[in-house]
Amino acid sequence: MTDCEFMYIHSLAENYLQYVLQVPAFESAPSKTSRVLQRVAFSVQKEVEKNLKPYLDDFHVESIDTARIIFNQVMEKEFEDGIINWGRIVTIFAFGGVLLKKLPQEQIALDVDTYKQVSSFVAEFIMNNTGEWIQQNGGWEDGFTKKFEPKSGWLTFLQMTGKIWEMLFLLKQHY
Amino acid sequence: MASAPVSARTWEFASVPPLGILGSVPFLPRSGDNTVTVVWSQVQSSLEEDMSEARLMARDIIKTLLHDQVPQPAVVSGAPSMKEPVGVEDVSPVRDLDFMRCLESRNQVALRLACIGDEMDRCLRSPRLVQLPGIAMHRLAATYSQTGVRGIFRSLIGSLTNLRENIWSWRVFTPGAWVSPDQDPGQLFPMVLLVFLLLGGAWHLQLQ
Repeated sequence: MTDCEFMYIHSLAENYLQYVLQVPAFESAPSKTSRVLQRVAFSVQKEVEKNLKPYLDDFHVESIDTARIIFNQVMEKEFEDGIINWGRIVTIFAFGGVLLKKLPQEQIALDVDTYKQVSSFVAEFIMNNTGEWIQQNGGWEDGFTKKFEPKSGWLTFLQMTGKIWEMLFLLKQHY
Repeated sequence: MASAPVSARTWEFASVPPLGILGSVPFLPRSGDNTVTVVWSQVQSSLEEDMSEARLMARDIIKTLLHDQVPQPAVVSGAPSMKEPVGVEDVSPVRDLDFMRCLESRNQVALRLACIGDEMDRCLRSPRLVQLPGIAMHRLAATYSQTGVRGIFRSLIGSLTNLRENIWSWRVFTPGAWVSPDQDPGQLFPMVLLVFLLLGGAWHLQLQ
């Protein structure tokens, strides 16, 4: 894995946590991958916060260091069976968002770079544990975005009709 | 790390009971011990409920995503549990208990995240509607090359019989799922249009 790939994952994590905190992005608009990730991971985060609240209430996230420790423990447990897929990778970002929101509000308000520190350890975990898998599975653009981007119902219908027409013309050529 | 479509973690998830049910499972059922078997079956059923809950959660997420209805994030609400004073730190058994509870919570969250991730991946792995004509064509070509035109007709008749049986059993087992007369006609429009296009295509071929 190169520094460039780490920077890419880091920027995805940073954009996602900015989205969670509703921090306005001063840089250029987020990429398509980033936008797709924000939608998917935020949905997961919302469901996790709602349904796993009794467990999350036991997490006492007093500082960034505590957040890092909890994050690594949970993620190591999640990936200890050695299975990686895009769904699980999305949950890494979502859990980073959960922990960020559990940090004391004062800390987030005082230190504007808090989300950057969280995004650093999120990106570090992703790169160290799933970086190779991501490369082998089409990367973020060809692997992740193509799988998770929303498909319009009408577009699907038109594509399907096109395929059927294609089949009919093929049949006509042969018979 | 390897990639696999179905996770063995699903069973692991099922084998760890959530907090509040029995805390932990310190025993396994023994033959002839009715009380234990009853308790174990209760644990199993509650675990199955939890597993299906995680699956439903993942499916809900997919459904929402596919329909592009994700709401904007709310303003950070802070951490309510953070401000609670921890005044029992000196009492070591309580601290140990807290530690065990934290550990249990972390494991539960990890296992459920894995389950949600796996389910989400499984849902997105299934073939999309657009791929269906291609798959149908491939199957048709394979059947034709193996059994000829007769094989195709036999297969078609078999499929239609299966379809009829499936529709019948579906109606019998889900009486509430009947299509109501006031169903939104807009939902049927693409199907009607598709049928017309197919008929139009077939008519066009017939004329030439």
